[in-house]
Amino acid sequence: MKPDIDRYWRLESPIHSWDPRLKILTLIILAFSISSVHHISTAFGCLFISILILQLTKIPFSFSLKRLAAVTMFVGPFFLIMPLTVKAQSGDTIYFFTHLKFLEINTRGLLLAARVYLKAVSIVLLTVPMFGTNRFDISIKALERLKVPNSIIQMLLFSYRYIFVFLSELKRMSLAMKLRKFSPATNFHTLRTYGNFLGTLLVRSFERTEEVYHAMLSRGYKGILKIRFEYRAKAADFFKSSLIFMAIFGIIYFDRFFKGF
Amino acid sequence: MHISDGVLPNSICIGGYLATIGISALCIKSKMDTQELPKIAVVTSVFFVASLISVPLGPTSVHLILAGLVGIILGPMAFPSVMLGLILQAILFQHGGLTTIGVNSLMMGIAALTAGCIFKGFKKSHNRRIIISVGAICGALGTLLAAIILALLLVTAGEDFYGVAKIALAAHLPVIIIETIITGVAVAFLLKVKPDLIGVKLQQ
Repeated sequence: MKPDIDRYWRLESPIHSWDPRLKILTLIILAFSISSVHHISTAFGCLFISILILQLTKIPFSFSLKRLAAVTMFVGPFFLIMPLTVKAQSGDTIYFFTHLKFLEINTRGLLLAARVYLKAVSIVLLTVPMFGTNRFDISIKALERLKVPNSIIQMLLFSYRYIFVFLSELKRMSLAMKLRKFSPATNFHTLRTYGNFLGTLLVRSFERTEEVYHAMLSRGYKGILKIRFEYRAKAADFFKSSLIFMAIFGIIYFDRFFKGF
Repeated sequence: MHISDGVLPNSICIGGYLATIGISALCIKSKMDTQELPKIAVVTSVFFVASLISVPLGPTSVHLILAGLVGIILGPMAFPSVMLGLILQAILFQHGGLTTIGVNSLMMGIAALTAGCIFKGFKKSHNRRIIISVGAICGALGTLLAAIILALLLVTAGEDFYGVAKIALAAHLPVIIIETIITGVAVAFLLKVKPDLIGVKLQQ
């Protein structure tokens, strides 16, 4: 997967035209309200809201679907572990095998894992409308307008730039390693090669970036990166945020007063 | 390993955010030098890219964490660096989560800071072997601490998550061995090629 979360920033949609400051602020509050959900039925509702916002962006769904890989890797094992390790409570349904008494399968564990996964997916899907509908530097500068300190913003933008440089370096160096018939395995040789590889990457990129930084300083760089973008919140932007806030209240209200799963 | 969204209770996530902001502000205020900006950004990006390198481990593979190495190179600035790396990972690759940036930064940042503190004590040493072995130990310690904090955080999600916490801790044991060797080799390499990057001055 490539780190180009903003590949589709040129599309036009109600989410794209939403003021980036309000968009990031509103959606992060939505993310936290999803994270507070206790019932699996509310979690389904959250997933529905996330997909709805995602569809409004007109970004192809497959683009967002690929971004669920990391969450699935982390939460996937929960589906195996939790039914076996959750402590039995009254009202739980427990299956066990007559020959393997120690192996008890508690369906409540399965439900808990499903709830975690639904919440995680709903929140991860929100990153696409949040940061995928503006050019990345515009989104980061929006964070500066939201009172994130300038030093953090500078470091974020520098690091963002270097990630692309290092990824291509990584590709080039791993091709060179392959050409010398290096194939990774579980042994000391592989680890030593990776350690030296990391060292090379650090030294080489450090020298290069230091030169670039000094060149920038000598051309008058004072820590302010200018971009042509007007941050202006109009009535329509506040309207969009208030719609999401209604959804947030809906989620919290439903989750608190709903009796059931 | 990064904690994803939806696992921990909201109070822990928000507390994690506040603690991370506090510690980062302290680190930046005490040690930040604008001349160091490119160095911090480079290490942040390497930390980011390293999480994409998978090391084969038997039938599966694991990703590098490198909290120890970040601490060795950056010292007190390791905490903000780890935080920035995690923010970028959450935004660009959806590793970890949005609501868990705070707790993940605490987990890896505290590990990196501890490794940095220990390494600092041995910087004055003129013995190559000592520096390399301390580096390797810092790599191990960074991973071990991150794993312990990960397990403790999972425990806060309630009794139902004890089993997950135990297995997550156990799964990190082979990673500790891998990180020990890789960090040791990387420190040995830097010592040979560019010792001032890790703040060591060896006598000729």
